[in-house]
Amino acid sequence: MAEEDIETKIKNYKTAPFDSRFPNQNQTNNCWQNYLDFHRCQKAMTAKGGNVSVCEWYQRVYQSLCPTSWVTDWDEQRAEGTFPGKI
Amino acid sequence: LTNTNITDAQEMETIWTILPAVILILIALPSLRILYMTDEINNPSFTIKSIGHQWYWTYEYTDYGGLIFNSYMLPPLFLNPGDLRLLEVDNRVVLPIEAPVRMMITSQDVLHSWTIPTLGLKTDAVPGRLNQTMFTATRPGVYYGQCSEICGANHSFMPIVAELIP
Repeated sequence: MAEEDIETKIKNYKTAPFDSRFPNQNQTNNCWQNYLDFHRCQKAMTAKGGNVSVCEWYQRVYQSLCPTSWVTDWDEQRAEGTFPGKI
Repeated sequence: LTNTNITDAQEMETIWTILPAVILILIALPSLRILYMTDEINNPSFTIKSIGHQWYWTYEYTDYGGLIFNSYMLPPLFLNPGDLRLLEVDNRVVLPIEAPVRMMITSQDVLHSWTIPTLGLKTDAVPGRLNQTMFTATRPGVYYGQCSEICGANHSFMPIVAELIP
Protein backbone atom coordinates (compact mmCIF):
# COMPACT_ATOMS: atom_id res chain seq x y z
CA MET A 1 0.00 0.00 0.00
CA ALA A 2 1.37 3.45 -0.85
CA GLU A 3 2.50 5.51 2.10
CA GLU A 4 0.03 8.34 1.51
CA ASP A 5 -2.86 5.87 1.52
CA ILE A 6 -1.81 4.73 4.96
CA GLU A 7 -1.50 8.28 6.17
CA THR A 8 -4.93 9.11 4.82
CA LYS A 9 -6.30 6.01 6.50
CA ILE A 10 -4.72 7.00 9.80
CA LYS A 11 -5.99 10.54 9.42
CA ASN A 12 -9.52 9.31 8.83
CA TYR A 13 -9.38 6.77 11.65
CA LYS A 14 -12.64 6.49 13.59
CA THR A 15 -12.37 3.12 15.26
CA ALA A 16 -10.97 -0.34 14.61
CA PRO A 17 -12.73 -1.59 11.45
CA PHE A 18 -14.12 -5.06 10.87
CA ASP A 19 -11.26 -7.53 10.43
CA SER A 20 -12.24 -10.62 8.46
CA ARG A 21 -9.48 -12.61 10.17
CA PHE A 22 -11.49 -12.30 13.38
CA PRO A 23 -15.14 -12.36 12.38
CA ASN A 24 -16.66 -13.75 15.57
CA GLN A 25 -17.35 -12.73 19.11
CA ASN A 26 -13.92 -13.55 20.49
CA GLN A 27 -11.69 -10.60 19.64
CA THR A 28 -8.80 -11.50 21.96
CA ASN A 29 -6.56 -12.42 19.05
CA ASN A 30 -7.51 -9.26 17.17
CA CYS A 31 -6.16 -7.16 20.05
CA TRP A 32 -3.08 -9.40 20.45
CA GLN A 33 -2.24 -9.44 16.75
CA ASN A 34 -2.43 -5.68 16.35
CA TYR A 35 -0.27 -5.17 19.41
CA LEU A 36 2.33 -7.54 17.95
CA ASP A 37 2.05 -5.99 14.50
CA PHE A 38 2.65 -2.49 15.83
CA HIS A 39 5.76 -3.44 17.73
CA ARG A 40 7.11 -5.59 14.90
CA CYS A 41 6.49 -2.76 12.43
CA GLN A 42 8.14 -0.28 14.75
CA LYS A 43 11.15 -2.55 15.22
CA ALA A 44 11.50 -3.23 11.49
CA MET A 45 11.10 0.40 10.48
CA THR A 46 13.57 1.55 13.10
CA ALA A 47 16.10 -1.04 11.94
CA LYS A 48 15.73 0.04 8.32
CA GLY A 49 15.69 3.75 9.17
CA GLY A 50 12.19 4.06 7.71
CA ASN A 51 9.20 6.17 8.70
CA VAL A 52 7.75 4.75 11.92
CA SER A 53 4.55 6.76 11.56
CA VAL A 54 3.19 4.20 9.09
CA CYS A 55 2.89 1.81 12.01
CA GLU A 56 0.47 4.11 13.78
CA TRP A 57 -2.53 2.31 12.28
CA TYR A 58 -1.79 -0.83 14.29
CA GLN A 59 -1.31 1.29 17.39
CA ARG A 60 -4.66 3.02 16.96
CA VAL A 61 -6.38 -0.32 16.44
CA TYR A 62 -4.90 -2.02 19.50
CA GLN A 63 -5.56 1.05 21.61
CA SER A 64 -9.19 0.90 20.52
CA LEU A 65 -9.59 -2.79 21.18
CA CYS A 66 -7.30 -3.79 24.02
CA PRO A 67 -8.04 -3.07 27.67
CA THR A 68 -5.43 -0.63 28.97
CA SER A 69 -4.50 -3.02 31.78
CA TRP A 70 -3.52 -5.65 29.22
CA VAL A 71 -1.42 -3.11 27.29
CA THR A 72 0.28 -1.94 30.48
CA ASP A 73 1.08 -5.53 31.48
CA TRP A 74 2.46 -6.33 28.05
CA ASP A 75 4.57 -3.17 28.01
CA GLU A 76 6.03 -4.13 31.39
CA GLN A 77 6.74 -7.64 30.16
CA ARG A 78 8.52 -6.29 27.11
CA ALA A 79 10.62 -4.05 29.31
CA GLU A 80 11.51 -7.01 31.54
CA GLY A 81 12.12 -9.34 28.61
CA THR A 82 9.35 -11.74 29.64
CA PHE A 83 6.89 -10.89 26.88
CA PRO A 84 5.55 -14.16 25.43
CA GLY A 85 5.02 -12.87 21.89
CA LYS A 86 7.65 -12.79 19.20
CA ILE A 87 8.59 -9.26 18.17
CA LEU B 1 -45.90 -56.41 25.71
CA THR B 2 -46.96 -59.48 23.72
CA ASN B 3 -50.38 -58.18 22.65
CA THR B 4 -50.50 -58.44 18.85
CA ASN B 5 -52.09 -54.99 18.60
CA ILE B 6 -48.86 -53.37 19.68
CA THR B 7 -46.27 -55.55 17.94
CA ASP B 8 -45.01 -55.87 14.35
CA ALA B 9 -45.66 -52.37 13.03
CA GLN B 10 -42.22 -51.88 11.57
CA GLU B 11 -43.30 -49.64 8.70
CA MET B 12 -45.25 -47.25 10.95
CA GLU B 13 -42.40 -47.14 13.46
CA THR B 14 -39.92 -46.29 10.72
CA ILE B 15 -42.12 -43.56 9.29
CA TRP B 16 -42.81 -41.86 12.60
CA THR B 17 -39.13 -41.87 13.47
CA ILE B 18 -37.73 -40.66 10.16
CA LEU B 19 -40.41 -38.05 9.43
CA PRO B 20 -40.00 -36.06 12.69
CA ALA B 21 -36.21 -36.21 12.24
CA VAL B 22 -36.55 -34.73 8.77
CA ILE B 23 -38.92 -32.04 10.06
CA LEU B 24 -36.43 -31.12 12.78
CA ILE B 25 -33.61 -30.85 10.28
CA LEU B 26 -35.77 -28.60 8.10
CA ILE B 27 -36.31 -26.36 11.12
CA ALA B 28 -32.69 -26.44 12.31
CA LEU B 29 -30.93 -25.47 9.10
CA PRO B 30 -32.61 -22.07 8.54
CA SER B 31 -32.42 -21.46 12.27
CA LEU B 32 -28.64 -21.92 12.28
CA ARG B 33 -28.35 -19.73 9.20
CA ILE B 34 -30.26 -16.95 10.96
CA LEU B 35 -28.20 -17.41 14.11
CA TYR B 36 -24.98 -16.80 12.20
CA MET B 37 -26.59 -13.88 10.38
CA THR B 38 -27.05 -12.11 13.71
CA ASP B 39 -23.26 -11.88 13.83
CA GLU B 40 -23.26 -9.88 10.61
CA ILE B 41 -20.52 -7.52 9.49
CA ASN B 42 -21.27 -4.11 10.87
CA ASN B 43 -18.55 -1.48 10.66
CA PRO B 44 -18.86 0.31 13.94
CA SER B 45 -18.31 4.03 14.36
CA PHE B 46 -17.34 3.76 18.00
CA THR B 47 -15.63 1.23 20.30
CA ILE B 48 -15.99 1.16 24.07
CA LYS B 49 -14.46 -1.29 26.47
CA SER B 50 -16.26 -2.55 29.53
CA ILE B 51 -14.19 -4.33 32.15
CA GLY B 52 -15.84 -6.20 34.99
CA HIS B 53 -14.39 -6.14 38.47
CA GLN B 54 -15.58 -7.29 41.85
CA TRP B 55 -17.91 -5.37 42.14
CA TYR B 56 -18.00 -2.52 39.65
CA TRP B 57 -17.49 -1.83 35.96
CA THR B 58 -14.74 0.18 34.29
CA TYR B 59 -15.47 1.86 30.98
CA GLU B 60 -12.72 2.88 28.57
CA TYR B 61 -13.18 5.19 25.61
CA THR B 62 -9.85 4.97 23.82
CA ASP B 63 -10.59 5.61 20.15
CA TYR B 64 -9.37 9.17 20.60
CA GLY B 65 -7.27 9.66 23.71
CA GLY B 66 -8.00 7.88 26.95
CA LEU B 67 -11.19 8.43 28.91
CA ILE B 68 -11.38 5.77 31.59
CA PHE B 69 -13.72 5.73 34.56
CA ASN B 70 -15.30 3.39 37.08
CA SER B 71 -19.00 2.87 37.54
CA TYR B 72 -20.13 1.95 41.05
CA MET B 73 -23.64 1.34 42.23
CA LEU B 74 -25.10 4.23 44.23
CA PRO B 75 -25.83 3.00 47.76
CA PRO B 76 -29.45 3.58 48.86
CA LEU B 77 -28.41 6.41 51.20
CA PHE B 78 -27.03 8.37 48.25
CA LEU B 79 -30.09 8.10 46.04
CA ASN B 80 -32.14 11.12 45.02
CA PRO B 81 -35.96 10.99 45.06
CA GLY B 82 -37.12 9.19 41.96
CA ASP B 83 -33.91 7.16 41.56
CA LEU B 84 -34.10 3.41 41.22
CA ARG B 85 -32.77 1.42 44.16
CA LEU B 86 -29.90 -0.97 43.32
CA LEU B 87 -29.86 0.27 39.72
CA GLU B 88 -28.36 3.75 39.76
CA VAL B 89 -24.62 4.31 39.36
CA ASP B 90 -22.28 7.20 39.94
CA ASN B 91 -20.96 7.33 36.35
CA ARG B 92 -23.11 6.18 33.50
CA VAL B 93 -21.78 4.91 30.20
CA VAL B 94 -22.77 7.53 27.66
CA LEU B 95 -23.38 6.38 24.12
CA PRO B 96 -24.69 7.95 20.92
CA ILE B 97 -27.91 6.80 19.26
CA GLU B 98 -28.17 5.84 15.61
CA ALA B 99 -24.51 4.90 15.43
CA PRO B 100 -23.21 1.32 15.39
CA VAL B 101 -21.41 0.87 18.69
CA ARG B 102 -18.98 -1.93 19.41
CA MET B 103 -18.66 -3.00 23.05
CA MET B 104 -15.59 -5.00 24.02
CA ILE B 105 -16.23 -6.82 27.26
CA THR B 106 -13.79 -8.53 29.56
CA SER B 107 -13.12 -9.06 33.20
CA GLN B 108 -10.22 -8.33 35.48
CA ASP B 109 -10.97 -11.05 38.00
CA VAL B 110 -13.90 -13.50 37.87
CA LEU B 111 -16.75 -14.08 35.43
CA HIS B 112 -19.27 -11.28 35.09
CA SER B 113 -21.85 -10.53 32.44
CA TRP B 114 -22.66 -7.16 30.93
CA THR B 115 -26.36 -6.91 30.28
CA ILE B 116 -28.89 -4.37 29.12
CA PRO B 117 -32.11 -6.29 28.50
CA THR B 118 -34.00 -3.44 26.82
CA LEU B 119 -31.26 -3.18 24.20
CA GLY B 120 -31.13 -6.95 23.76
CA LEU B 121 -27.58 -7.16 25.09
CA LYS B 122 -26.00 -9.81 27.23
CA THR B 123 -22.34 -10.70 26.91
CA ASP B 124 -20.19 -12.58 29.35
CA ALA B 125 -17.14 -10.88 30.78
CA VAL B 126 -14.49 -13.58 30.85
CA PRO B 127 -11.03 -12.93 32.29
CA GLY B 128 -8.36 -13.24 29.60
CA ARG B 129 -10.90 -13.06 26.77
CA LEU B 130 -12.27 -10.11 24.87
CA ASN B 131 -15.88 -10.55 23.81
CA GLN B 132 -17.44 -8.27 21.27
CA THR B 133 -21.02 -7.22 20.96
CA MET B 134 -22.46 -4.62 18.62
CA PHE B 135 -25.64 -2.66 18.65
CA THR B 136 -27.27 0.40 17.16
CA ALA B 137 -29.71 2.12 19.48
CA THR B 138 -32.50 4.14 17.96
CA ARG B 139 -34.09 5.83 20.97
CA PRO B 140 -32.45 8.20 23.44
CA GLY B 141 -32.90 7.52 27.13
CA VAL B 142 -31.47 5.78 30.13
CA TYR B 143 -31.19 2.01 30.00
CA TYR B 144 -30.52 -0.21 33.00
CA GLY B 145 -29.04 -3.65 33.41
CA GLN B 146 -27.48 -5.80 36.07
CA CYS B 147 -24.50 -8.11 36.22
CA SER B 148 -25.70 -11.49 34.97
CA GLU B 149 -23.04 -13.93 36.06
CA ILE B 150 -22.56 -14.80 39.71
CA CYS B 151 -19.40 -13.11 40.84
CA GLY B 152 -19.35 -13.06 44.60
CA ALA B 153 -20.95 -11.29 47.52
CA ASN B 154 -21.97 -8.11 45.68
CA HIS B 155 -22.98 -9.67 42.39
CA SER B 156 -26.43 -8.07 42.71
CA PHE B 157 -24.91 -4.66 43.39
CA MET B 158 -22.97 -3.83 40.25
CA PRO B 159 -25.53 -2.49 37.81
CA ILE B 160 -25.01 -1.10 34.34
CA VAL B 161 -26.55 2.19 33.25
CA ALA B 162 -26.30 3.37 29.66
CA GLU B 163 -27.32 6.89 28.82
CA LEU B 164 -28.08 7.15 25.12
CA ILE B 165 -27.95 10.64 23.74
CA PRO B 166 -28.75 12.07 20.30
